[in-house]
Amino acid sequence: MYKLVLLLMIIFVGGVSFTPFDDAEKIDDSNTVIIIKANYLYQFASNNNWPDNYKKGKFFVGVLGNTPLFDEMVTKYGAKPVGNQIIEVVNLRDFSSARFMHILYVDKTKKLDMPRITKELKGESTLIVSSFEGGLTMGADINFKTVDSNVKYELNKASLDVKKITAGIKILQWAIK
Amino acid sequence: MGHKMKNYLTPLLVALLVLLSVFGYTQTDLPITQQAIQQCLNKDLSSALATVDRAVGSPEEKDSPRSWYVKSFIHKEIFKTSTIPTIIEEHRTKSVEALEKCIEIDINNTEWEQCRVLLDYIAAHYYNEANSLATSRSNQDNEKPLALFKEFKRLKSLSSPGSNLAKDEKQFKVAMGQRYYSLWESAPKRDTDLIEKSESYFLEAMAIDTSDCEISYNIVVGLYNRGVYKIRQLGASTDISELIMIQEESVNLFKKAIPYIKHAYANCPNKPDVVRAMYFIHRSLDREEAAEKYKQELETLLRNK
Repeated sequence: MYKLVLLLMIIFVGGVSFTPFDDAEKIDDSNTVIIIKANYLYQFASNNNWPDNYKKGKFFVGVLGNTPLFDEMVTKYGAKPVGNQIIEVVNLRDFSSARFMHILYVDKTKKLDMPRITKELKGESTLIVSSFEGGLTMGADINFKTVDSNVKYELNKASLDVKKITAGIKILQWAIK
Repeated sequence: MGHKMKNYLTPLLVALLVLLSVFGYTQTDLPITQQAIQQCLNKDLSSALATVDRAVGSPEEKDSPRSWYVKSFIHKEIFKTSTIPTIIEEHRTKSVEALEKCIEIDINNTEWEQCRVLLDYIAAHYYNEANSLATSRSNQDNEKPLALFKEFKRLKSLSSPGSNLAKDEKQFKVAMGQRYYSLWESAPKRDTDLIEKSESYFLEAMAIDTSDCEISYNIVVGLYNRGVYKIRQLGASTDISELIMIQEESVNLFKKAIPYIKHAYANCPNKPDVVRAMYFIHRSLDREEAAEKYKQELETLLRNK
């Protein structure tokens, strides 16, 4: 009889509960392509050489049509030095040549603006960086291109020479041939 | 409804327990053991333990499986009500030892049924602690959950030889995978060996249950977040050659995650976390069309939630 008692005691007092597991891990929502492009823009700023008359005041980087890229640039590279200059990142919804930019990034959403941009920036030492198929033929100096899921870039050295921007050896070395 | 039923059952069970215990005492050839049972029922566990130790030390009762079973039971009652880890560990171990002694000398299997129930209870206790420690951030000992889980398996092999523990094994491996993921996430240098250990536990769990989308999702998160972490380290001090190298390493991790996210998606296409991971991976591989497709799908899912 006592067996039954003890058995009941186990069942009664020893209710077994299995610990629930924590929720599944959370995926990082950072936009890696944006982070990489922002770093490239910084590399272009710090590894190329502009004519002396553009080495005064701030170093302007304009981002046309891509607010997340602008945000990343401001957060990570805003106020960083490029030589003796300090970077200032400008968010551009529409293109205007009224304000000089050392680097102008043109997003694919602004592809149709390219003819006007290249026309208005003719003779200026603004490095135009595009991010769409055919960017170089439309007048960009550097164009982002995805190769096997890696963001890389192609470069038009001749157009940089015309603008008197000296491409750094590393920039030339890592460009898609 | 179920909750109310539990409240009715409690006093009934208590009454039944008291009746049965009183009745049970009248017939015994083990007076010391019987006294220990009475003390146990009166919740006087320290006296019960001293009495049962006297019983298993006495020439008349030391060879009785029943006395050893009662000793095991009393130790179980002590560790069950304790919150002090050293007390729990000491009495749980002693409970198992006494139970093994009971089984060893119980040639006629007269105590087997209670022993089996008690073994299962203690095994579950080990299992719960193994999982709890595995997911606990305050526990610094990575080996302890493994040792506890090993003991759980040993006890289950005694109580139910040949029983299928695949489900428990899977859950424990998931818990260990989560443990190492958390350790990696909180490590200042994000040591690769931690995230690789996490991945290997998840893979072992996935081998047990190939249809579990949460496991494959966890593998995806480990691989993907590891790649994202590398990219997030890019900054003003990064050389362009490093940027190229880090990007390649990360893209390789994103690509490695693809079969697992496809697996998760195939099994759980309506789980927002899975669709979100699908979207992020394609976005990180700069596959804009595919990324957009899953982004839309995610938005629809969240809208209809």
